[in-house]
Amino acid sequence: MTSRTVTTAAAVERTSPVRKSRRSRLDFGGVLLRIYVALVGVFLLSPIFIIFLTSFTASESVEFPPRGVSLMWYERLVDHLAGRSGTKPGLSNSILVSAQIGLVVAIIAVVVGVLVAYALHKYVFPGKEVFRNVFLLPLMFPQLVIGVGLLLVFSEYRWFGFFERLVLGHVILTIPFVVLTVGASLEVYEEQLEEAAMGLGAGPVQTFFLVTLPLIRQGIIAGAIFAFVTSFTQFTVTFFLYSGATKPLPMWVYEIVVMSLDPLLAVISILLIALTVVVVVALSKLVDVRRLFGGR
Amino acid sequence: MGLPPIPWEITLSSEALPLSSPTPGSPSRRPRSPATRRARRWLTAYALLLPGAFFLAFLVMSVVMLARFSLNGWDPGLGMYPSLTLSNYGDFISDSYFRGIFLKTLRLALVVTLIALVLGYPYAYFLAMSRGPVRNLLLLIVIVPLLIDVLVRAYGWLILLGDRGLINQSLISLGVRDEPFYMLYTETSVVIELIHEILPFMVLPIAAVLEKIDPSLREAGQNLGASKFQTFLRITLPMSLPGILAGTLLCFALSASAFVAPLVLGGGKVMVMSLLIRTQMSVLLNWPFAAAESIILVALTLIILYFYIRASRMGLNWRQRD
Repeated sequence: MTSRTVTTAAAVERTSPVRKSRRSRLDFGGVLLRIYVALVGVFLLSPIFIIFLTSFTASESVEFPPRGVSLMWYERLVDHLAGRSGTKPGLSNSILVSAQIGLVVAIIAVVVGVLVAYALHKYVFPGKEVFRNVFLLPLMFPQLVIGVGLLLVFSEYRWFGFFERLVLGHVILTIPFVVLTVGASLEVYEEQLEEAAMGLGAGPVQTFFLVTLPLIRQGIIAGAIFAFVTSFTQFTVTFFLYSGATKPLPMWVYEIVVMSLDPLLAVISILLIALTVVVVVALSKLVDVRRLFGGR
Repeated sequence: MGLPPIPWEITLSSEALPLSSPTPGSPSRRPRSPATRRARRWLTAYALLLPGAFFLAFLVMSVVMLARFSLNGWDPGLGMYPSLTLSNYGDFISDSYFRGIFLKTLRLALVVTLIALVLGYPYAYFLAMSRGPVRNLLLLIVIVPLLIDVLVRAYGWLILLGDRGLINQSLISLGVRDEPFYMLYTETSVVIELIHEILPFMVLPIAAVLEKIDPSLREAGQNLGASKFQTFLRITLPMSLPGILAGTLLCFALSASAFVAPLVLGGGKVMVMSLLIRTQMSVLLNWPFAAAESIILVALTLIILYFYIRASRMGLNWRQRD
C-alpha cells in the first residue's frame, strides 16, 4: 500500500509540469493516441460485452437481433443447477469438482510457493538462477505438452486417481504465480523487523511464522486467489487428464460449446466473469499486478 | 530446531550482537566457521525448495517420457512398439505436410505477435504515461481478459465472428454486404482470438519498462528543442526496446503453442502444431509421433525462452543503470 501511494505521488510530481506547459497547444497526436487506445480497449472488452448482451436474450439460440430481453436463461441456469429434468446433467457436479480441485491446488501451491520464494529471496546458493528459472518455467512452457506428457506418465505408471492427477497438473501451473506474488511482497517488506525479532531472542522458525509470514500475507493471499482462479478455469492440461466421473467445469462447458452456441453458456460465462472481476479488484488492492509480468 | 544462523545476522552491528549471542550451553548456537555456516545455508535453501521440486519433477518426467516415447516405433495395426529410432523426427522433417504445418504455426505466431505489438505498444505507452483512475481503468481492461476463462473468451468470439454473428448481421442489415464474411473456422478467426489472448502479455512488459524510464530524460529532450514525436523516437522508443523484446518473445512462444484458439475457433480446420499433436494423440493414437511433435514444440519454446530471459535481464540492467 505504501509503495503504491509513493509511486503515484512521484508520478504526479514528475509529469505535471511538462503536461501543463503543453496543454495549451492543440495536441493532435495526443488525440489520435487516445482514440487508438480506446479502440484497443474496445477490442479487449468486445467478447465480454457480447456475452453480457447474449445472456439476456429471449431467443432459443444465439441470434441477432434477439427476439427480446429476458432473464429466461438465468432461470434455466437455476434449473440446471437444481438438476431438474430436461436439462443437461452434471453442471452442479462439475462446479463442485472444479471448486474442490481449485481449493486443494491453492493450498498446496501457496505452501510450496512460499517456501520457494523465501529460499530464492533469502539465500545465496549454487544454481539459484537455474532454480528461479525452473520454477517460473511453467508460465511459458506449452501447456499442451504438460498435458500430453502427464498423460503419458500416468499411462505408464498408474499413480493416483483422476482428482489427484488434475491437482498435480494444476499445481505445476500455479507455483509460478505464487512465487511471483510472494516474491514481490518479499521485495518490499521490512527485513529489519525480522532482525528485531531475532534480536529479541526469537528463533529462525518462530521469526518466520510470527513475523515474516504476516508481513507477506498480501502476496500469499494474492497467490492463493491466482492459483484458485487458474485452476478453476484451466482448460488445456485438464483436457488430457480428466475423466467422465471427475469432470471439471471447463470440460462441461467445452462439451456444449463444440455442439452449439447455447445461450446458457453466456449466463455461466457472465458468472465466471463476475468472479474474475471481483478477483482482479481484490488483487489490485493486494499487489502491484504489473510487477508479476513486467519485472523479474 | 537446529536451523543454521540466517545470513543477515552478520549484518547486525556490534551493539546488537550481545542480544543475539548464543545462549550458553546450547550446542546448536555455537559459533561455526564461515564455511560450515555457508554449507548449512545452502542446505536450508535446498530443503525449502524440495516440495516445489517434487511437483516440478513431474514436469521433468513428462518431458523425459515424451522424449523416450518419441523414439518408439508405431504400426497402424500393432500400435506402439518399443524401439530406439529417430524415424519419427525424420518423418516429420521429410514429409511436406508436417513441415507445412510447422511453418504455418510459425507464420501464424509471427503474424499474431506483430499485430499484438502494433496494438499493444501505444496502449502500453498511454498506460505508462497516465495516472489515477484512467491508469487503473486501462490496467483493469488488460488484466480482466487475462484471467477470464479462455473458453469464455472463445465463446464470445464465436458469437461475434459467426456467419450469423453480430458482425456479419450488422454488415448485412446495414447493406454493406449481401452475404456474410465466412470468418469462423478459418485462420482469420484463430488469429483474432489469439491476438486477444496474448495482447496483455505484450502490453504489461512494455508498460513496465516504459514506467521505469526516467521522465527527466524526456524533459531534457524537449527542453533541447525536440518535438514530442522526436523525443519519442530518439529517447523513449530505444529505451523501451527490452520491453518490446520480452513482450514479443513471450507472445510468440504463447501463440506458437496455443491450443484453445485453433481447437474452438479453428474448428479443427486450421491445422497447427498443437492440434496436430492432439489429433495424433487422441484420434490416431500414434503416441510416438505425437511425442516427437511435442518435443519439437518444447525445443522451439525453450529456445525462445532462453532469449526471453536474456531480454528481461537486459531490461533489468538497463533499469539499474538509470
